[in-house]
Amino acid sequence: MSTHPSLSGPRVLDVDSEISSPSARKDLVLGTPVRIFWARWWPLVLGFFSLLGTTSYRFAESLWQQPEFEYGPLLLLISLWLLWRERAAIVLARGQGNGVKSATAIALGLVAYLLGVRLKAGYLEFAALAPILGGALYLMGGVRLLRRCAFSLLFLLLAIPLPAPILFVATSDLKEWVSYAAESILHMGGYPVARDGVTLRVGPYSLLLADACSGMNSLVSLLAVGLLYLYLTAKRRPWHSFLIVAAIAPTAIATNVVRVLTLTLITYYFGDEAGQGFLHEFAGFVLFLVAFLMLAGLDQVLKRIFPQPSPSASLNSPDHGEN
Amino acid sequence: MAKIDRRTVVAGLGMMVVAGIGTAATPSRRLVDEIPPLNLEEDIPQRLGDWVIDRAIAPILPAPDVQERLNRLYNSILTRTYTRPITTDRLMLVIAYGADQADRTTLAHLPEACYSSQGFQISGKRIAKLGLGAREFDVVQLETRRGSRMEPVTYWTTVGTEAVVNEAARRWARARYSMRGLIPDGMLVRVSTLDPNAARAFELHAGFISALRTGVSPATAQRVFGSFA
Repeated sequence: MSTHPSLSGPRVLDVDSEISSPSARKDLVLGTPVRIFWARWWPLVLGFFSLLGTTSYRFAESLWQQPEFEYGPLLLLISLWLLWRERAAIVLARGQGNGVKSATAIALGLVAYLLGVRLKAGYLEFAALAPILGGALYLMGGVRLLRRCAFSLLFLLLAIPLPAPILFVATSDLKEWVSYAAESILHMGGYPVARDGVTLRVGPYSLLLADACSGMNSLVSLLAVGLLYLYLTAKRRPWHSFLIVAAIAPTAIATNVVRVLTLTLITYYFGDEAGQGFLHEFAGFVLFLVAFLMLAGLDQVLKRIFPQPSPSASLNSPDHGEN
Repeated sequence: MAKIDRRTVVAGLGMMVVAGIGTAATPSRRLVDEIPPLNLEEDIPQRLGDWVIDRAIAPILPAPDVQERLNRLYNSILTRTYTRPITTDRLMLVIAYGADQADRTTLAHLPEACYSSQGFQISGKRIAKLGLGAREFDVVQLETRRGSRMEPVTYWTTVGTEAVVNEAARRWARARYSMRGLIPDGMLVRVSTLDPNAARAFELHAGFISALRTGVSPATAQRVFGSFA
């Protein structure tokens, strides 16, 4: 049966070896990689997005409405955008992956996904998307494509809603620590401060640190923004990148302490209302910016210590399709 | 024809089928629709043994933002202060009832979380066995403190018709209902007193819980204490 030549098989896109064969050259001219991609891989694309779609629908109704998971949809969108950025490589995939390995990853992912849905364990349902997407990408383009899309997968993992018990422990430990740090600093500054658990008393005021004050959200957000910044800007030496990643959590926690201090002092000098109003939101926004600028500053300092890799190293992308 | 690999079709169709099954398999039957309704205000008697409702003390209402959260979390909350006229002991009983314990966003919060988010510190936690009738009943005993306010707490939770006292058992009970496609209801039952002497307080709680057990109807007992009782 003969059909449109553009659908005559993606083998022709084996640009590394087969570009010289006359039939391949003819198909390459006549066919478009996108159409060939769809013809060959549509079940995987449709399958993955039907899973992601139904999950997003369920999450939009419950988990993503919680303040502690507001960042979830945003991280997911970033993950999809990172995937879209690699479309040139994805479209040229020609099935280099090992079928057994990818089938195993996808099958395990699907079992976990079903279990997560049935048990209403959102973290399991969402986490299961990672091996499914990873397995699909691997089947399409082998390890190379998987590596190219690693960052998209990382953001998918970041978007997993943490299980409640883990989140609870992390939040309360952070809160405890933040209030301890704020108390110590205010004490050094000579303010009349006392702490009882996560309640700070300054002069006549008593401030209770809410869960939102733990800085858990800004920690995840700064992690996402920091990683994205590293990924989208020029290549760095491994140590350079590592130090910046390692600095993200301390920076987020330190700026959160500054935020709590600021709000405490505003309350102390200007009263309860000032501390709870507009400034409350504004301080969070400004300090997130400050945290990011601190990371960017660290990046500049590290640039002097670790010389940039030569530009040719960063153009090392043999399967990008242009060569 | 395009050369579609068979494994691609199998994997892709597998995903689509699982997405479909997932939508269909999300538990949607509510246990609460299949059992007699619970009316805490009526089902829990105003007199339990020698404990009677203390009308002298208006229950302290939570802050408006906390109340709003509570309303979203629970379908009904019973808050009562009981007193024992002879000894003038005062005791607070809270039963927070939620119809959906499958979804984590409406899962009953444990006092560990509520008390600490209200600025309390938890200095001690253990699981104790109370003798209720012929059986032993597990409860959690917490020692909490905020400033000079010492408030020992005894609590347990239920999932459907099962009483559970730890997070793993609760997860397991929820999972068993979910696997049957059922959304269990459940509650947090919390008894507390203001008392610097935790041992005395826990003993008082145990006495009250025993009076609660014998004071409610068998049907209510099954909901509040789980089906063992």
